[in-house]
Amino acid sequence: MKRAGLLLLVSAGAVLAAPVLAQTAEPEVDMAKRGRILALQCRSCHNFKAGEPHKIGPNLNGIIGAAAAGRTGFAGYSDALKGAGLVWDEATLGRYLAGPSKLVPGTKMLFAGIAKPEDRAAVIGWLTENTK
Amino acid sequence: MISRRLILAAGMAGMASMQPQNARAQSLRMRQDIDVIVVGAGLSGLNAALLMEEQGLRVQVLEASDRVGGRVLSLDDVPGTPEAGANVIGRGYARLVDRAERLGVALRRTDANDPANAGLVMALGGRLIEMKDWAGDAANPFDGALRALPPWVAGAAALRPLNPLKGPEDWRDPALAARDESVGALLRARGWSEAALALGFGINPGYAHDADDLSALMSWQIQSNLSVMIAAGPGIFGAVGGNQTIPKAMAAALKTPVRFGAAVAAVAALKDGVEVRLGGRQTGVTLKAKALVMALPAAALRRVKMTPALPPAQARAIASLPYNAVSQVHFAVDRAWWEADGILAGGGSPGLWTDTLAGRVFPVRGGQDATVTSLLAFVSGRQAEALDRMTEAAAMARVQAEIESLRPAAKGAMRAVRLVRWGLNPLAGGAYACWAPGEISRDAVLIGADAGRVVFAGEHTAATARGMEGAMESGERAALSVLAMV
Repeated sequence: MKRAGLLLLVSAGAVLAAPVLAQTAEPEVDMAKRGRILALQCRSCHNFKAGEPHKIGPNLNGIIGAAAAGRTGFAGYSDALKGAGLVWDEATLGRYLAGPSKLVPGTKMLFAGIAKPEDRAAVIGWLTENTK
Repeated sequence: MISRRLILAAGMAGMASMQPQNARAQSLRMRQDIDVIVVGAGLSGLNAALLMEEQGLRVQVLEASDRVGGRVLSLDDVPGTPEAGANVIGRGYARLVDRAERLGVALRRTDANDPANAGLVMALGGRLIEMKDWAGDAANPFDGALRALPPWVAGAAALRPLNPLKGPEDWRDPALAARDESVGALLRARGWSEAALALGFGINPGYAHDADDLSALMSWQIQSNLSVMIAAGPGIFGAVGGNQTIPKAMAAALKTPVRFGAAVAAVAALKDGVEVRLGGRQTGVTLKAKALVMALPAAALRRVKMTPALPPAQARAIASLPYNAVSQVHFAVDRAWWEADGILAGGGSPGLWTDTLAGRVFPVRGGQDATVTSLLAFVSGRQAEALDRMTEAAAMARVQAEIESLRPAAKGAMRAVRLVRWGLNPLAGGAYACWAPGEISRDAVLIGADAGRVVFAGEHTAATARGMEGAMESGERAALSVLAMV
């Protein structure tokens, strides 16, 4: 009986401690995992590593900070994106990923958009790491 | 040019088709260590399963029938292997094309089978009408520039300039709820007559029965989606050997084979998981997992008991979503009768657009050249529902008789060899989902909302894409949702 009581105390302690952990170590792990999972929906249209071919969308290597519609050798850009004058900094990319045709009506990128800002940040984090 | 890829694909198809014979053996050694159950081995379920397996999850796909592919069905017993279900792969079908490439399934251009190139001759009230005469014909109910267009184009042409969508993804935006009305209400307010609405939307409808149960918002989403598909590049595609080669290759690539004959009767939420109870031939079998992807069409999902019940609004959305009946009669051709019957409006094509139970008649070119390998009577709307009330033999005979009445040269030169009736298929419930006016703003988002550890897929839950790509998109979203929760 004493042992059971102790276990209960220990597990109660674990429950109490969880929110504190969540505020410190876990978010970064979660962001990386979340970004990796969410980025799976990019790969039907895009490659990410240097030297890989364009798909229906352009290879995204070096995309962060680059001018929009500027990937060498990709012929599929819409006039809308070419004329938008955008630079893919994190803020602009975030707005685009929220709903591509909202930011650039007429874009050929067919994508429902990512509703949650933290999910967009996770994808941009993944892209930053994986398109260097 | 017929490559290793094709041979590989054929080998995979062979493996997949062997699986039904193994169904009994499988039931004796059911895995109990799985992470995710996928219900339905159509494109959406298979895509979800592959994505989850690739991320290290153990996945069991359950399929009620004895084949994979769902509404992708290629008829290998008809010359040229015509498609009886999902037909067109657009260049912009990124997920489907990518998946086919990864699995070594070869695609081919099928522009020759594009309905837009079918050279259809109009037949109204038993009378063939050439397009050059249509603008001045007494039966033409349209006004202005629309008079010069065939009736199967006039409706879309009238809707296009009214499209409020910025792109194919914003159709579910609550801001557009006020535009979620019927095409009938929309066009009557713009002066369309009842006769114009009946001819433009009530005969051989692509969706719904007529202008009054056709959603304008859905029609615009279809048009916006089509614009993006066209912008992606020229051509339409099909899989070499038939589109069902793709789901067969997907199933063959799974680590855990699809379990066939496994009709799901009930799904119950457990603490941190789900339990599935099978019905039919496999009654008594239960299966547990951490999560479940429900990839059945809404029409089939209605028969699955969910515990706890879904939220009432979601349950009502699933219960009310209409599906289009489509019935097809496939004809083997003994003689190219259309080349000799003197009806030149379609450029010597057998193509017909009729107000009869034969619906539309399309030439199918299943080979490498332009030879017509079979004919397809594609019947939709009330015409399909009338055929569905007949016996199989009577339906096939009726369609053949209608064609022979309009084109007598067809007599003795073609044979009806297959009838496929999607509206009568209980596992499909119809050919495709068709939102009714007012339903999109109410139901289109919540119909696919996660319900605890149950995640929904299927073309009716797609956010932007349509057809086979909509199925692939929905499976991808479901997989991502599960991967985030387990």
